[in-house]
Parts: sequence; structure tokens; C-alpha cells
Amino acid sequence: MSEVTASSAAGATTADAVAAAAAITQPKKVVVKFRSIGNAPILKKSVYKISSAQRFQALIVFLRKELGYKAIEPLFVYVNSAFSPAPDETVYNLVRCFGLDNQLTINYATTPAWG
Amino acid sequence: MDYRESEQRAPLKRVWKGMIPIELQLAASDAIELLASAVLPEPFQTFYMLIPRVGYLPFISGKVKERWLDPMLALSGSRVPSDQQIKETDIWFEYKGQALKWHYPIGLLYDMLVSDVHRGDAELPWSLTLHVRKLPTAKIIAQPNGQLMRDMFMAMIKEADFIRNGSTKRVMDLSKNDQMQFLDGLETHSYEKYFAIHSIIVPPTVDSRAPVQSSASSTSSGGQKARGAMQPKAIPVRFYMQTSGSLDDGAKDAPTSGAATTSAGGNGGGGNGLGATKQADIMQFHVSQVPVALYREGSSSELATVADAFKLCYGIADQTNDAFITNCACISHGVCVPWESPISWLADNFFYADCFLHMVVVGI
Repeated sequence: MSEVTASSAAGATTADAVAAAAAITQPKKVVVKFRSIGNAPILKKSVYKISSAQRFQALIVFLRKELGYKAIEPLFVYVNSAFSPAPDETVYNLVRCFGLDNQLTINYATTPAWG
Repeated sequence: MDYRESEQRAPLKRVWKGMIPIELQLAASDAIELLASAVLPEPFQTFYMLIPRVGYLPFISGKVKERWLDPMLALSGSRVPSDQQIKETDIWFEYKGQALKWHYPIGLLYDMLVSDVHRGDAELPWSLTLHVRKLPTAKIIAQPNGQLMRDMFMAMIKEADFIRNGSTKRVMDLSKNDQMQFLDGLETHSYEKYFAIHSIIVPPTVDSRAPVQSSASSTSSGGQKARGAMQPKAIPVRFYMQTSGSLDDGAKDAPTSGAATTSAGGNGGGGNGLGATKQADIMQFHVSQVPVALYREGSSSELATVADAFKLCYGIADQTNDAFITNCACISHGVCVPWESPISWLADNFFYADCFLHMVVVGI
């Protein structure tokens, strides 16, 4: 975290330094737990370690791949049985706001579950 | 009492009513395709509009099409085959080579992308390029339209509710009618309609006094005020920090762009002649979101400030490290927000329609 202290020259450099420091303090991997709802098939393995810099979109793509779902087949993906984040939100931000012990719970269904 | 009430609501109302004049030009490549000429016929060359800061681009696409593109095509007599008619879902906006993320509030996009907002030399009207072809699905979410925007907005509201209260109960408990009114209020920019429902979801927090008069008074009376009001667990705060790009986004975007290409695979956009794809990386933002408690850690009376929220967000543990305060400006709703502003005041007055505090941090 001391990386931030050094740069004080131009403002842009500070912004970069802060962002760099944030990337360093950010854990590389987070634990994501997938839970099926309703008729959605259950994954053989439900807990994965995923890079925290990934976006939610990548997680959906990953889940579809694991389930063998094509892009046209409907899949609804939620965080904490509550809401669907925007595809460009990062997994790290989601874990920080909605995770428990650095673990994020993802629910998926083939029909809309929580609006 | 009424007077004070209305005075206290004044900043909120001004934030809600903030508008940006925009100037739209049709992308040359799209004009050539539609009209066989890069120059549009008079009087359609430029289209002006006044749009709300708290609103979203898909809510204005329909009007742009109806009032500008449709009449232009009708009067120019050009015949576009029926399968190539302009669809609302094809419309996207570009500013200096960057495709605008349509699911971000308009005012946030302006504060992020227009340089010198913090110096007050803002660009007005905001000059944007309108595209009706080749939506860059690797950069922005596909199929923008009013209904999808409404759905995504409701998801954001739930996300905010979850951060505030630990569940989405308040939003889920809204009746269908209330939800419709809320969304209609957003889409039509109606203060009354929107806030009638907003006040159900988000009761005012602790402190509705002026933001930064004296830190002494905010520390002493903050605790007392808390008793009457409903206290949220935390406030949803998101920082958008401009970086020079190469730094972390190289590593960050690598897996994402892979994913995006997969999902965009079906569209097969050639991308030829698309300025956006070539230069879209000129401005990068590191987006960081964190729940911020109303009070400083370990205190029940010291209100958390924007600087505290920023430190929390970026993992700056060193309380004396304040280099960013002198080197960076924090912008929200086109206003430089003082770093010492209490989060609780901002939460009551400076939120966007999705109930988040969106703050852009730029070097000065």
C-alpha cells in the first residue's frame, strides 16, 4: 500500500498510482459458488476460484460453458438470490459489496426468479 | 417548518433537474449507407436536445429517431429496404471515439468523458456522434432499448437496496403500480412521480444539514440526529478513476474482451471504418464500488467523508496519506465535491436515480 505515498507529481500519476495500489491490494482470486434454482441443472462442481478482475459477463459465459448452454437458451443469473448485476461489473466489486468471507454466491435459473 | 423542509430538499431538486444540451451529428459512414451522401439534407444536419443528467440514453433514442432520423429519411426520399430500417436497438452514441455506455447515467458519462469539468470549462452543447449501425458489442451492452434499460435500472435499484439494508425487500415489496410509476418518473424525468416512490425505498438518512460548514458541528450533532431517521447499514458508492489506461486495464480487459468476443460472435461485425473500435481505449476508468458506512470506523459520531470512502475503496490504510486530496478532484453531477463532504449528506442529496453515489476522480 505504500506505493501510493510516493507519487505526488502530476495528478494523473497519482490517479494511476492509486489505481495500481488498488490492483495490488485486490486479491487475485475470489471464491464463487454457483447454485441452481428451479429446473436449472446442477453443476458437478459448484465452487470455483475465479480471477477477481473478471467481469460478471465472463462469469456468465463460464457458467454457460460449464452447463453446455448455447447463447440462445435462456439463463438468468443472480447474486445472493436478489438481483442481476450489469455484465460489466467486476467480480471484485461484487464480492466486496455482496460477498461473505470473500465468497460470492451466484444463483442461476432457466426462468426469471427475482425479477 | 415547510420553508426549512423545502430548503433542505433544494439541492436534491437541483440535482434531479440538471440538464445537458447535446448536439448530435450522424456518423458519416451511416449517412452514406442511408442516404448515399455523407452530407445530410437541410435542415437535418445537426440535431439538438436538452437531456436530463439523471436519465439514460435509451430513453432518448426513440425521440431522436422519431424527431430527426425518421423525418429526414422520409423527406430525403431515400428508400431503405424494410429489413434495414433503423431500429432503436441499433442506436448508439459516441464521444471522441468512445462508445457511450448506455446503462450509465448521462450525467456520469459527461463527467467521466468531458475533460475539464472540474475547472468549469465544460463543453456545452455536448457534441456527440450518433450511430445507427454496427453497435460495438465488445464495448457496450447489445440491444439497448427502453425496456431493457428499465430492467437494468431495477436491478441497480435492488443492488443499492441490498447495500443499504442487507436485502432487496423494500424494492421487492413495491406494488406493480408503484414500480411502473417509479420507472415512468425516471423515463419522463418527472420529479413528483419518481420521488413519491423513491421516498418509500430510501427514507432520508441521518443528516440533512448543509454539507461542509464546520466539521465540529457535524461530529457533535450527527449522533443525535440518527435516532429519528431510519439508518441504512451502508451507502452504495462507486468511484470512477481515470487512469492512463495501459496500467491495469491491459491485464483487466484481457479476459473480458475474450468473453465479449465470444458473446458477440454471432453478430460478426466487420468493424471497418468504425472509429470507435480503433480509439476506444484512449480513456480508461478504474471502477471501484464499496459499501460505505455513515460513520467512520470505530466511531458512532464522526461522519464518514468522501475522502474516507475513497481510502476504503482503494485500500489506502494509511490515514495520513492524503496525496490524492491535493492531486485529484472528485466530481459528481458536474460539481467538484469537497473531499471532506459527509457521505450521509451526499446520500440524501447527491445520489443518481439508481440510488448510487457515482463519483468521478480525475487528476488536477
